[in-house]
Amino acid sequence: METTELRTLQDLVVLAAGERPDKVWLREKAGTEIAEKTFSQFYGDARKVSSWLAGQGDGVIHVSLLGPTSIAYITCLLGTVFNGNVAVPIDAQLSPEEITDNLNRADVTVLFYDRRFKAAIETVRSACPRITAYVCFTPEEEAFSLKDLLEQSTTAELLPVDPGQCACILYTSGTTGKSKGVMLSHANLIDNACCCDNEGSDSDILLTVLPIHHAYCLTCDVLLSLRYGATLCINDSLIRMMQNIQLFKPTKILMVPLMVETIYRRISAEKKKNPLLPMKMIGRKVFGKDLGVIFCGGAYLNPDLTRAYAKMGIPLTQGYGMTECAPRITSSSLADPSTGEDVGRVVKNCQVKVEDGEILVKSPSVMLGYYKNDAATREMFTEDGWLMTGDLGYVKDERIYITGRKKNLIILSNGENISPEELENRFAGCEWMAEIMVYSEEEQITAEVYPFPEYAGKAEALFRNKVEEINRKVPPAKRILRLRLRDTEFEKTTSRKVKRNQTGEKGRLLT
Amino acid sequence: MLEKIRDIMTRYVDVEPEEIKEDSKLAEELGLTSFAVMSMMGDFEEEFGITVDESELTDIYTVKDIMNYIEKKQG
Repeated sequence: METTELRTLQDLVVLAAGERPDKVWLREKAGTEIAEKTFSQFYGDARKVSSWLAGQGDGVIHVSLLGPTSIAYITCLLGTVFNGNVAVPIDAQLSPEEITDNLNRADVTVLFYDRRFKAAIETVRSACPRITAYVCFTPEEEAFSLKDLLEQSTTAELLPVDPGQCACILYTSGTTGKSKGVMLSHANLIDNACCCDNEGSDSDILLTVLPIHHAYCLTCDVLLSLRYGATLCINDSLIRMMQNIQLFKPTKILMVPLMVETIYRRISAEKKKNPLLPMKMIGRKVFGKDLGVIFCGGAYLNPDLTRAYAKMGIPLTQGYGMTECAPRITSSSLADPSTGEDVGRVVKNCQVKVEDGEILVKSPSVMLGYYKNDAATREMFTEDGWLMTGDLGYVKDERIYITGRKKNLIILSNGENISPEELENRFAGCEWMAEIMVYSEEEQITAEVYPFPEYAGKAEALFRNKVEEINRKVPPAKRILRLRLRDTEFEKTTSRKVKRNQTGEKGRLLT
Repeated sequence: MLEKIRDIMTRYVDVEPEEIKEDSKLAEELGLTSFAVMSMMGDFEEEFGITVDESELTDIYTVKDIMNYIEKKQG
């Protein structure tokens, strides 16, 4: 696809359907069968959704989507943005109260939902008076469904869409404080979907396993597969991810480090049982023979995992980004891999600089701002318009190296700034440790650890030794002075990151 | 059933099968993350010929809960 012709998401859908009308774009399980949509079938349905939405309110309307990824979900999502309305994908793991809060704060008036959320919809109906239309993704008795919508709609005309207008509001998971609605324009998303050359082809088969309300999934699974005419297969549940890998035989998958790590544990167990079986063979058994690469993003990826996967013949590549950048700031590929220490090469059109240790970004992918939150938007930018990532690091040969996060800085009374991640990363490779968090408690740097339960008896001694070893290597101000050991996992955000502001009980203080 | 469950669980936790007891807590004692529990349930689907519904997993805390769940699903 000639990317110079691409300015809006409408262009992307129109061009994809024009180039490969009869090729299958989307595949998903439907009972014992597999349902498919070609690029042109999808285009037709998206235009009908767009046409129906035109009758749901004057001017631009905000349309939300609730449920796991499905062909219906993607149809309604792109049907919404097609002629200039705004899509608001909601995190399906939130409580009904959090869902209604997100819907109200984004001024949503139309809601598409999965039938499994019927109970939550009842709460929404009473708490979101502005929502005037509800559409169920699948046919349901006594509910208006997407099938009804498609049957009664005509095909929408192509209306001009301004590339600068908002296409999506994506809520950031909010490790601290209340979630913020990131407004991404058509131009932001198109820029990010086109920020790397030669990163796909129409023979690619992607399996989408990440939640679709994440920018990473939206841009790199949905938009990239449209751009390259690749096939996108939908994972119906994380429960069946491994089975779906066997079923759909993907050539590429996007994952977060937690997934890569868990699968590796399973593979290691298999190796233990069959020590003579080569790792490559076990890898092929688990991932199928077609999988060529796993893209990792969203959190710190331990370089040991990259090396372990390489031994199985499955390259892991990683990128770095944030929702506010739609999301990619760096990327790596098989042809240009990251070493494991860096997080990839800065993408096209993206300028990066480092000020006071913090990585700043300026690019056409950078968001319009937070929805109805000018104060928070202002806090994210420098006076001359650079986005402050909150990440500490450095740039060398156009590659970014992350050393920690400024947002979680520990600022001691002597003026020393300490990045908890920098200290946490020093525990990498401790096979007894499951999770760690470093924070300041009564002006003392505290390390709190959740060890793997099988090490419960030995964890205290191992922890003390490791801290002693670290303290010998760091400047005095960075020494860990307080140790806490816990017997439960840390609280997580819905994207499975450890929450920095834990509300539960702290671990046992070691004295 | 416990034997089969133990066998599958040891794919996700580094403990000896006999250390997995019926009253072992999945997260607190065995150190399973929620993603690991989901993956494991996928293995149980294959092993026991059941279909697991993601929304029903919120009530599963221990090995015994898994056994009860599988038995219920098998009818």
